[in-house]
Amino acid sequence: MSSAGKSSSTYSATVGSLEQGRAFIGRPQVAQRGALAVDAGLIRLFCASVQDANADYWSDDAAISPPALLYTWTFQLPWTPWAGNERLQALGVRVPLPGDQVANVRQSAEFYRRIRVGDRLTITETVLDISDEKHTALGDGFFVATEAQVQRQDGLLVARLHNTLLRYRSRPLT
Amino acid sequence: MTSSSRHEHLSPGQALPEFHYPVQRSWIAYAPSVMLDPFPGFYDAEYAKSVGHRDVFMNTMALLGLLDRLVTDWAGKDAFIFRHEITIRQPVYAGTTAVISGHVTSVDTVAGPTEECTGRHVTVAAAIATDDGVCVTGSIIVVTPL
Repeated sequence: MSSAGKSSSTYSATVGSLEQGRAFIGRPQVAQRGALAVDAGLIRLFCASVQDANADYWSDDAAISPPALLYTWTFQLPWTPWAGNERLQALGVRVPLPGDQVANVRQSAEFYRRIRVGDRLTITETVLDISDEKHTALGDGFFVATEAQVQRQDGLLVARLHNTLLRYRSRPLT
Repeated sequence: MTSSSRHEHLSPGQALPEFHYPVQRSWIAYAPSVMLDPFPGFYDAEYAKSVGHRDVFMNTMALLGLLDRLVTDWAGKDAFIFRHEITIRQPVYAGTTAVISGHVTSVDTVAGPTEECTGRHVTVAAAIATDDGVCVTGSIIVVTPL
């Protein structure tokens, strides 16, 4: 990992070769259930942070989730009693590649149903493509395109996601 | 004005009311705790600098939240966001003021794959700009009452 100056923070994308990374292309990963059910408290905190007054998000009963929080309901917690600090990262971060740093570039999602408080979402991700090495303002690296299906607790499809992440080194590749 | 009467005469080119958003680092720091998005570039300025940034910056979910808010503030709470897409051209850094704006690019009646997706699809081209220029562009398709 590159020098973090005075910072004590770390962030570990999986480092490996381009060939190792491309071996993931087209292989659907094991479905992962999000750590948290869709939660009214987190919805309100999020809406406060972007100052969104939409009454559907602030309802005392039958509140719905802002679409922007879709990924949150599929994420894992940074620590649990049963797995400690072993946290499963998003697929674009855990695919082995030479770039140890990450920057999100593009994301799209199509929604088929409203996401409601109490829903429990499961995500199944697949790597679609990994680019050749590119020069960017942040450093040299690789663009990783993933797609995902997100399903509700009853199996119904809630959304399809596409994401493009830059995996780069903040110093020149050698 | 009801949301349906507001949308009766929609046409491409119509601008949505823009809004300003003060990009405070305290809000940015919600990313790991509220959105479970743990990247240190959202809360640790020294880390952000060490990986090529000038300061902490907003995460993708919060940026999407601003774009969605632009559309739902205008379309009304019963509107359903069918699709949103975001391209991050440069970070939205702490200490800036973001201006969120957009305009209608198309209006179509569509039979979607579910009832919630079916209706009038209004496509909006949106952007988030700061003093650094345009940082984010996006496209949102919202289903509005007919």
